Amino acid sequence: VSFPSDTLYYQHLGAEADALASAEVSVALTIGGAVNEHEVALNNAHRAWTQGHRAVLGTWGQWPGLIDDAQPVLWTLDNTGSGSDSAFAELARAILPRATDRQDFTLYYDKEEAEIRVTVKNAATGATIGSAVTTADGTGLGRLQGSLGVTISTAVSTPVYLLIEAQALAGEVGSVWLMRIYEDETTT
Amino acid sequence: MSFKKIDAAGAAGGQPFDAFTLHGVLANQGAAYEGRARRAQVSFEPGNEPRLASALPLVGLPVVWPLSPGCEEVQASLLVAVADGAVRLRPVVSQGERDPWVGDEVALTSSDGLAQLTYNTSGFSGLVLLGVEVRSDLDDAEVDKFSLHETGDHAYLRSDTRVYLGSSANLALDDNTRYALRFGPGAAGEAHDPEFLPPATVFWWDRSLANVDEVDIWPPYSRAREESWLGASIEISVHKLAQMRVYSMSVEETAFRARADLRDALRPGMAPAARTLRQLHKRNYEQHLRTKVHALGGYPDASATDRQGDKVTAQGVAVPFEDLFIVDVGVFDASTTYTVTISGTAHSTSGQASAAATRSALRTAIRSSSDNALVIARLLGSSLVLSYRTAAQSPGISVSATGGTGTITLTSTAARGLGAAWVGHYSDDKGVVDGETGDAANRCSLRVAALLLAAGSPGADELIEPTLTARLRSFDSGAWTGDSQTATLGSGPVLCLRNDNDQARRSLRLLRYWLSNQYSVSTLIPRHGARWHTLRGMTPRWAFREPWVSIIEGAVTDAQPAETHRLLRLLMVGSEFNVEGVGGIEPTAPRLVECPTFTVWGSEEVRP
Repeated sequence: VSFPSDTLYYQHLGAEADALASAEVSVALTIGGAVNEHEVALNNAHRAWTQGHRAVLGTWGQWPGLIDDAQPVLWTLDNTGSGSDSAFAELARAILPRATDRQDFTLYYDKEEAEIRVTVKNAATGATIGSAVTTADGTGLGRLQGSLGVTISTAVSTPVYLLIEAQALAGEVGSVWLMRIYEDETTT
Repeated sequence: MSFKKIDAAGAAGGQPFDAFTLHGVLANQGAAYEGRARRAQVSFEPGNEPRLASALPLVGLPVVWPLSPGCEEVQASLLVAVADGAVRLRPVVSQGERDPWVGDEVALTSSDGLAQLTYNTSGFSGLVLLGVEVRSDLDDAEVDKFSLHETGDHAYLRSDTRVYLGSSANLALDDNTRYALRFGPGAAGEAHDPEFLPPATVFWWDRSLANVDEVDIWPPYSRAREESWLGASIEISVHKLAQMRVYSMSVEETAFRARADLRDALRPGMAPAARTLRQLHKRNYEQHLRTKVHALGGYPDASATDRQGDKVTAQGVAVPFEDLFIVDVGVFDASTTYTVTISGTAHSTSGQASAAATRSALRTAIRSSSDNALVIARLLGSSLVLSYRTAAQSPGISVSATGGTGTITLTSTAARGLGAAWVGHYSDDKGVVDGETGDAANRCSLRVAALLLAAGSPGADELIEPTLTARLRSFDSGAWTGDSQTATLGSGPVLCLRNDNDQARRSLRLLRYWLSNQYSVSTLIPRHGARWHTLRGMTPRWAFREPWVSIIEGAVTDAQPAETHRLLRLLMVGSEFNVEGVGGIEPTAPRLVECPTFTVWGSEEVRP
């Protein structure tokens, strides 16, 4: 990197700097420092890129009629018997126009005696692209809050959706209180 | 276009520093402008998905959307299941009182699981209202068929919306199917009135009956027309209506205003003009204004039931306005003394023969000492209900009844929940324009905008003015802590329509009236009626704008942005009740304020 015009640059901008009051301008005015400093100071666009507008894919647990502190169970799952109750049951589907650049998702949950599974599917074909399931935490642990990461191995430019399912642990009645799922930040 | 680091690795040999740096900033800014658009999703619980179907076009799935600076196009993706024919969708954008913009039609059939609608927002800025206009095809095959006649055991028009199908109709309707009526010439082949109704959506029927003998239709009918049908041979056929269930909806900004290329102005070796850098600064600031959308509302209220006790699958929440002010004082007893205490002053009445006389006596007593306060007494069943309206939000009102019914104290500051949403994780919304860590930010401002509409049956047009508040609550280790922050978002008038001779206003009022009539006034009051509404929250396109709907917007500041999980609760409280005209005072049905949707997004905030 060469710096042929730094002196001219600085002199020209000096009178305007106060009026501009911009981070980007201040970067230009600190010419003479190391490039790495500028790199850090230019993070506005970087932050917009890596963190910007991580879409909320869905939130569940918003009790519209809530007035007091009551927190009703969103879903109760009975796996004490046999048949369909012993399988994962659909809780929700969340559409995502595309997964380009945003291949990772995080599910936050509050659950008890239940497992939650997230499967990423092609919205047009229904084909499975990726999947993750919460760890089998075991019984008698009470309510557990945590997060589950979901990764798609390849970027997808067509719409996808996240199929969210849950089932109670074997022989248990499970509960899900809260769920929300976000896109993750990118690591660019 | 993607983001690139501005470091030595990215520099071409011999490139001047200023050009390298500023071109890098410009390119990265452009990449974020195009590639990091605002977007958000909403998903619905299985069994509570919106189920849209209408014979004539109606707008549903409303979204309040804060347009980013320069946004010219928004795209909605809907994950759907279509049944019983084709459903035709059109995107609708409205703002204020202007006529809504309407896009091209998208037709969906049962083989389509995905719908994509494109909204042209180039003529709009700021908050806009996005909607999906739905028109369903009718299945040509008849579910059943009836002959219409003015008397006897035949079908006839019972009211503006109600069609009686005859005592032996034995019409079996399925909750999960949607229906429409078609009107045509009967077997005699001659109709006196050739202007038959267009197909009408069956939007209300008695779910408790295995054999339905009457249904309600929208748009409403003019009974005057029935006169011209006397003696006519007219046939009413029942058809399945194509329907669309919506699992999830995504809204994303997809196109932005083209901007001038500044690269020449920032060419190597030349001193960049201040106005060029100012332009670059402006672009960065616009990026800063494009905050994250934290939540799209419109969630069904999983706890809501209709009067029959059946689960309601409405998008959004409806709150009887009078519930904010109402108290049930028990079985009306003429020997009971009813006392209303307002701000410490008691107003009593006794020995009134009727609820109306009780009301009159209380009003007279109250008005003698307190302006703008009004007590309404109503008999619902045998139960006497007193409600009050006043200009003051918290006047300190209690209501008591002596003579065996005990005392009930009214909480005058009662608030009703309209919705709630998880927020948090707003690391990119900390309100810093500069600084790499955001350490200067110690708070996060959130903006909330809620769409409201009112239903009821007032004697005159009414403007109900609810106040919306927001509360923020923390979630930590499985427990919610108290509301750390409460903010008044704002008040706004919501129009409640009276009956009107104008056909369009009348049809809208009826659509909303049935909505309100479906809910019980209060959980204290016995349910009555057992009807089921399938067009809840939908509105004709012309009414998808002010003043037929209202948007109330405001801000709440989270003083603890370090919290990861926060719950924002949206509540409605009573406020000034403004009545236009005379005769609108006495409600015959509850006024209902419905919040079909609300949106929470980060507020732009410049570091102090």
